[in-house]
Amino acid sequence: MLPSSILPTRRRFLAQSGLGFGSLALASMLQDEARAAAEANPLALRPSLFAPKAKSVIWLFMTGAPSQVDTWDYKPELQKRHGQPLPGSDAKTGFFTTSGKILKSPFEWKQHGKSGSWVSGIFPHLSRHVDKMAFIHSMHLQANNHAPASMELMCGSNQPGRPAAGAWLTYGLGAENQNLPAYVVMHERRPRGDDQIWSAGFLPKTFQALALDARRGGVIDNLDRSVSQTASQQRSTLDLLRDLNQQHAQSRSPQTDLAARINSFELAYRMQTAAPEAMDIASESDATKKLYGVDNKTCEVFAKQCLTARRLVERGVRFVQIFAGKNAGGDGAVDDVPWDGHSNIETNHRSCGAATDQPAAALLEDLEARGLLDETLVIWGGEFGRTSDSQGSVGRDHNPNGFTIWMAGGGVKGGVHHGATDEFGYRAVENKVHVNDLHATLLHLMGLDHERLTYRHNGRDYRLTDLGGKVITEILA
Amino acid sequence: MDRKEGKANPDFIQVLMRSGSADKWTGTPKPKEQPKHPRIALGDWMTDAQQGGGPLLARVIANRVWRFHFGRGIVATPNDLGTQGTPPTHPELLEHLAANLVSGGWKLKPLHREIMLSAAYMQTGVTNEANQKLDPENQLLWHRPASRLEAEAIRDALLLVGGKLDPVMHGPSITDVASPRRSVYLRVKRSELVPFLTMFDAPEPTQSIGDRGSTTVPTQALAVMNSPFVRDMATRFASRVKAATAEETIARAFQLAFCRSPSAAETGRLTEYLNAQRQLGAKSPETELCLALLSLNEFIYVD
Repeated sequence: MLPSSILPTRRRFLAQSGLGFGSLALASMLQDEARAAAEANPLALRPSLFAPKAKSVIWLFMTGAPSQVDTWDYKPELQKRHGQPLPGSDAKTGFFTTSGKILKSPFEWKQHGKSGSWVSGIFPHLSRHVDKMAFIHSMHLQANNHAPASMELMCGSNQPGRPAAGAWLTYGLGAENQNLPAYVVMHERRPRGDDQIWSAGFLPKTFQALALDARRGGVIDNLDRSVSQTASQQRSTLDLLRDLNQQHAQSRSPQTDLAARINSFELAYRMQTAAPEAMDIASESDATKKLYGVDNKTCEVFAKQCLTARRLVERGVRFVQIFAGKNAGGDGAVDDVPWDGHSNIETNHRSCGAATDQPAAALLEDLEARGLLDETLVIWGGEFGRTSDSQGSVGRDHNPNGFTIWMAGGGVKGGVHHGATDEFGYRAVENKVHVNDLHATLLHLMGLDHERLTYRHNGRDYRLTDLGGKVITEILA
Repeated sequence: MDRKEGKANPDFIQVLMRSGSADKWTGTPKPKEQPKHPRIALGDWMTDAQQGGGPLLARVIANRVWRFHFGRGIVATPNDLGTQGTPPTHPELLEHLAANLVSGGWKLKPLHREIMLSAAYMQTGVTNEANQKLDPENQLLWHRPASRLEAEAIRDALLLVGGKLDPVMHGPSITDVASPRRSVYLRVKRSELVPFLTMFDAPEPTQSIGDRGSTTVPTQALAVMNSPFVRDMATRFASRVKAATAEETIARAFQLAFCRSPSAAETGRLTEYLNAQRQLGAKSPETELCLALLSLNEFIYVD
């Protein structure tokens, strides 16, 4: 049974909206039928508020934070004024301290596509797809360390306990495929912030992400039958459960949760077949596997994750997030924050680029070829950017004041650049985009109004975008 | 933050005070004397049932204890007894319980006792159509709907039936989730929650959750069907109840899992099941039987 707060009675809802922020609760968006279904099954498919542009999201989270000025935000001033003092530099921007001296980008920059977008040399594959991407160069947030910044980027706040965007989406829209989890995250190392960056927070736990650890083969917990049980033995057990549970329910008042639990065993039984099928990348053609780079040791892990992500959204999974990247080591980063090039931005970003570039490009290409890119929103970015002045001699520290995220596919324009950082790429100055704005846009593309997707918790209606958020209309297709 | 206007003195919510001054609780320190710690002052104010926040605190606690027993508070929003919450279904009852709590010296046991000895608490789960029509939401508590055990109790119940639960009270918290200690002694690590408990709605430890959810999702069913933990408990359970005849095994298993004897129909269906499992090649049909019993709604729903 859902807590009463998820689906308030009409009377309570009216009373509260009169006293509250005047926003509509989710229940009001639902038809009676859908509401009854949501009571029996919180993951039942719910209609979006208006026609969605995208049905699914794949968020490629570049864990550890790539440097904007070494990836997508070309700043010729840095090359010209290398080694000179960085005007307005603040040594406390990052986690450690920086030199205050400009560090040029060690990479070769070129313009690509019809849009003439500048891309650094670490993305030979992704640079072919710039005309699909809507770049937001003016992202900024508050926290300057990995865990709180990741929470801020995923949950809209760096205070723990808030639901992540994927949980909000699943709460708002339900699941397209009842045999698979609606919200899946994949990682190779547990990212900083742990469970809190894919948490359901104060939402019902049903909306929590299912986390797949690449080190353990990306398996779903408890999906495999015990070796001491065959499928027919298990089927016989489920038949018994159905009989006895029905008998138990008959002598009691009609309760949706008793019925729901009977159904959940049948769902679980089907998941045992549906989930391994969904994640079986071995069944893909050799050409597809090669496209992603499954055969390439440098990017094998991310390639498998991206390919799995495509298979999952193809089967109706709502929100897939991959915490990605891999560094060669010795450049200031550690395993769980691969893009964290504190001591050597060049070696770090070269190895992280090599570990992610081909699979990410393949994902865009493959989604497009299958006609899925129109309904899948792909997001690429890290938890913040990096400083334009150096840390040590050739590293860069954290910088939450300006960084680049791009989106592609589902409902966004291609080859556009929104917002800008200053001439050194140090701070967002033009059309600044807050995390709330990014989330408002994400919800909009999925057919939800960020001001109306609310959940009542401890006496007030909460939103993913809290009290902020403005849809970035400039990048909408 | 950039508009500092001198020192802010501790004070309390005016609407919850009979007299306007905070001095009664914060005290006015004599020269050279340490001022009273603001947290002690806050505690004194919160528990002051005459002049301070005591009346509200008593209602909040009484409501929470009631919710614990009935699954729903007299005020259905336990973290919000104000205008934004739902009004109490039985305001006089809440006042009565709150007043007794204060006059009894804030002791919780008498409160539990009073609730558990009430006619409302002792209603059966049996329903009838006439009442169902009059009060479909059971606001008047005319029957006792089945409610699911909390995550911690589900884990403890599995350990208990498996004969493995360590009933020792007190002691430090433990990090090993495989430990047979009661769930209340498992350490809560904010960034790394216990998956089995989270799955059954153990809440976010960083938030005050007044009304814990009770969701039903297939991942819970997967854990019951396939997790090594539940299978281990079923295996231990089976070794405790296995007897010479199927009837005897089933009867013992029912006693341990449900504290009742099986009906003739249940014994018949389960005997049939044991034979079917044997024919399908199950290594231990009794283990499969015990796993099935642990999977039943009756095991995690109490009336």
